[in-house]
Formats: sequence, structure tokens, C-alpha cells
Amino acid sequence: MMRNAEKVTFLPLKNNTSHERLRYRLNLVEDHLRGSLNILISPEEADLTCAHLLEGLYPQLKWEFPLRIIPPPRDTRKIKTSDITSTLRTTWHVDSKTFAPLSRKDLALQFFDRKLGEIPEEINFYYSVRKVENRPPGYIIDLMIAIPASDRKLEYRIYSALKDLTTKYVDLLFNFRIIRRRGRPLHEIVSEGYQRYV
Amino acid sequence: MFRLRPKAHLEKAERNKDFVINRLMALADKFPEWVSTVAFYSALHFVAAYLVKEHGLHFKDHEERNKAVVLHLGEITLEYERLYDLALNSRYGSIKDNPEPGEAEDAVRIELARIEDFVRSHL
Repeated sequence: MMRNAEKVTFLPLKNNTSHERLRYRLNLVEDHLRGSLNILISPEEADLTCAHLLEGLYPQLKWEFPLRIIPPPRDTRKIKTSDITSTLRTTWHVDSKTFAPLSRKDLALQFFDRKLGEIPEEINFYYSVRKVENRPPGYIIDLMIAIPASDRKLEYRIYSALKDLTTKYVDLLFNFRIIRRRGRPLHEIVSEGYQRYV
Repeated sequence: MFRLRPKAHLEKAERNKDFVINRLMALADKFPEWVSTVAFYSALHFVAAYLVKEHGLHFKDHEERNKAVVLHLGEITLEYERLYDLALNSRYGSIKDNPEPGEAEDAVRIELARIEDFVRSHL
């Protein structure tokens, strides 16, 4: 773990987290914190796999092992600073305010992914997070849903999933667009800055 | 920021509807993107009239308005999302993202009509 850090961001990962998924989640966190990134990995059953993945992804940083593995808190607002220490017993400041919306966003994306998974047709789902000033929660989740061609029935099922998403995550802001591929390859139609949800 | 009264929103909605039905629909084969765009803005003013009158809500951004439609106008949310989606693709997508002529015509005949009916029956 990086030394002398002032902030810790929880990065809830499963112990079978893929390299690719870890990378894009790190990108999310990094972007959110504008570079001041420190990571503590969970959850309870996780081992050091994630830590070694991190080492591989960021070889330029100095890491200490073993990382302390802690269970992911259900409510980060309840975490006390003293709960989290590095192996050197350095007390870390927990930026739970930062983590909370991040977690909420991840949950929302998971929820939307599940909703889309209930639809049998071929759907590819991408997202991007855009910061906005003076508009709570401070960012907009842009959703891009790619389908093969115009299909009124399918599109209405996607609108319904979006409605469920907005109803459930009423504290977040979403924007969306359905893209009818019409024979175009995905790399041609997915805008820069969007990531595929995997 | 403009804060129109419900009546002013309804006038804008009606004017856009008039334009799309009496002018643009004849051009739907060639310019479906403009049919769906104007249909959406007609719908936007219909829902804005409702949100102002019933809830005192004014919006300048689509994301907040879309959320309000979900929360307060559940009966016509899917129709509104449909128009929003078609219009967004029409305005910012490539020509290949334009709705098909039939989709644009349906946007006026089905989605916009349902939204207008609902709002007028509740105001």
C-alpha cells in the first residue's frame, strides 16, 4: 500500500475479480478522486490475489504486503478512522463521503445490468460517468445501450428497465441512449469515454 | 433560466404539435429526425406544464426532468423515454442513427398523442 496517504477508498472486489474488471474499476475510482488514489481491498473472503493484481497494474508504485483485508462495510458512514490501519499501524483517513456515491453508482449499474439480463435479445451496455457542478449527486451516469436494429418491443423493455433504475436509484442522475447498430461494428458506434459494463 | 407558467408550456406544446403534424409529417420519409425532434419538444412542454402546475417543478436539464417524469408521470414515462431517445439520436447521432420514417410517424401518432391526452386530462 502506498505510504503517507491521507485518504483510503474502499474498492469492494471479489477474490475472483478479473484483471480487466479490476482495471476499469480502478479507473473509475481514480477518476473520481482525481488521482489521489489509495486502495483498501475487501471483502471478507478475499485473499491477496487482488493485491498482486494491483502490483502488476501499477508497478511504478511501492506496495506493502500483506494488505489488510477487511469486510466491505454496509454503510461507510459508520466506519471509524481507527478501524483502518496499514500494516505499519498508520492511521488512515477514510473518505467515506467519496466512497458512498461511488458505491451507489456501482450498485445502480449492477441493477441495470441485471434488468437488461432479463431481456433475451442481444444487448450491449456501456456507461460513462460525467461530473456536473451544482447538481446532486455531482455526476451523471450516461448509459448507452446497443441493440442490433430497430425493435419497438425490445426498446420498450429497455425503457422499462430504465424506469426501474431511476425509481430505485432516485438519488442519482442518469442519461441514456439506445443505439441501433444497423450493421455497424460496436467500435464505430460507442462514443469515446464509454466503458463496456462487464 | 426560463420559468414558464403551465399555460405558456401548453401553448409551446401545441405550437410544436401543430408544426409537426401539419408540416413535418409530410416530410417524414425524408426527414424523420426532424419529425421526432419536434414531437419530443412538444411532449417536453406537455409534461413541463403538468410538472409546474401539479408539483411546482421547473427544470433546465433533461436528466432532472426525466427523473421527475418517472416519479410523477409513471403512466406516460415509457412514451416520454421513447420520444427522448429518438430525439436524442436525431439531434446528436449520425444520419444512420436517425429513426426510421415509420418510427418517427408513430412517435407523433402514438407517443405524443398519449402524452398529450394524459396531461390534458389531468390539468
